[in-house]
Amino acid sequence: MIAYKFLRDGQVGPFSGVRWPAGGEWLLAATAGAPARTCIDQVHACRVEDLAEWMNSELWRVELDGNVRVDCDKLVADRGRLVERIDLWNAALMAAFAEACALRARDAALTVLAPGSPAHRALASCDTAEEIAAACAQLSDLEPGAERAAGYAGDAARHVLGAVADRSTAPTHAAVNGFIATHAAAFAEDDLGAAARERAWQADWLAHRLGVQTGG
Amino acid sequence: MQPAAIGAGRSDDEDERALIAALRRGEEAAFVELIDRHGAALVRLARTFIRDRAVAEEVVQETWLAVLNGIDRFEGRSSLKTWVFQILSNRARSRAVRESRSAPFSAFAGDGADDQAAVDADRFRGEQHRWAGHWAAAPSDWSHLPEERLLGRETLALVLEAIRMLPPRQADVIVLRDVEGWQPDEVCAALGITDANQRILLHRARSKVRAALERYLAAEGATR
Amino acid sequence: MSADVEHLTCKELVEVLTNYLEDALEADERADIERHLVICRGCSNYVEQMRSTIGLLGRIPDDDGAVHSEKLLSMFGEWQAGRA
Repeated sequence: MIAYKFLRDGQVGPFSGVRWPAGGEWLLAATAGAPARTCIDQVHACRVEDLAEWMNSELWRVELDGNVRVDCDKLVADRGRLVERIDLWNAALMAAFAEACALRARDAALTVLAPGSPAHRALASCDTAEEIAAACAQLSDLEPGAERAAGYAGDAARHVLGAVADRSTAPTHAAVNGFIATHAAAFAEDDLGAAARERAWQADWLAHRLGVQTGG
Repeated sequence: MQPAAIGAGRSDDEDERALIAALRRGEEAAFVELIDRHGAALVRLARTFIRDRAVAEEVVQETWLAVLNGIDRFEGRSSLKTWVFQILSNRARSRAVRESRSAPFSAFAGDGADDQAAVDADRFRGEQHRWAGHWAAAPSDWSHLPEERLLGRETLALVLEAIRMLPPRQADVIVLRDVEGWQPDEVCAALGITDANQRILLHRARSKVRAALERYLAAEGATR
Repeated sequence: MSADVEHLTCKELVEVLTNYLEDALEADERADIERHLVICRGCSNYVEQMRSTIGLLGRIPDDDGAVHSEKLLSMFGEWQAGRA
């Protein structure tokens, strides 16, 4: 089956350190066919809905085979091979994702901050991560809930600036912001279901811009 | 020159038994073979307990003599390697205590009461923070350090010193596992501990050595 | 509530890292660590620091000193003579 795989520069597995074969040959799990006691025995990949959690420098379309199954937030299989690099996943898109998440964290903060308050007005008037970061830096004397919500927005905004300043760190900033926006949503709505909904929003955003199908 | 009786093609166990038998017969070649196999590692091991090279070599020499004097009584319940290590470890420890003016604190530090965290709690955000438990002062990226600083003699010396400051059982585990490259089950057999226990000791030891290395490298950077 | 969004904090990760490197964790515990490393540069650096530390320990060199000293061989000779 077709799936997606994030790798470090040079087609290297982020945790195994194993280089995926360049010519599309199958990469076999260390103990293909054996009961999965530890993850290092298996090949891992993402469905579209898992992408936000596993971001790294390179994104590839991969083919999986052999006992393919879902394990929480990833796919596991006995073997996999690279099909093609998804070039749309680049530093610019990572920064764009980071920014989209920062705006979501800002939106979540607006539901927590008192309407009409100086903090609410300041954040509501922001259009970019840079503006959000600047606005958050000015906020003071917030009660704890508001401070936390605004804090998430400010943190996410700063990560966008980091992604833009140093493209080599963009994957981490993008991934963190997905995480921050999820936290921000769960906190604002005081509902764990909000975390799942936020992740689903992120998956749709990515699917749309990468030209891939969700739920497939 | 290796005598024909001791050579390749035998299992480790058989090999060891043949070596022990030859030693008991008083064959010098067997003793030379034993030193070939373990001599360098023993000196390295002794140096992790004892700073002074000459004293460390003395302790190794005493160890070899104790091995010879005990070879008739050695029952083979543990491997020769394990037995030799235990002799060295005991002698090196007592000698290290005698050599210093006052006993180093670490010689008496038990492990049971040692519930230090791997990293100081103040390196992380407090419980009230929105990122409770996350890094407040994150570790830096050592890949930016020049290789000669990270892998140089001074750094290795610092690491050795950090090992000497560890509580005894933590030092044993980290030296056998990470310096000497013994397998976990060999270490458990040598020290008479469970695998879980071995991992806990290894965890504490590695955490302390990493922390010492971090302090050293950070201080180095600050003076540049 | 938001604490449940996260499976593992940095403070927790540094305590289980040895088990991770020793491959002594269950699959879901490994996944928690790896998911965390994706979003945490601090912990990624910590893991690399630990790997460097272990690497350094493995590089403590064999001693240069003569292992086969004459002293050892003559000691052997005396021991052997004493057994006769």
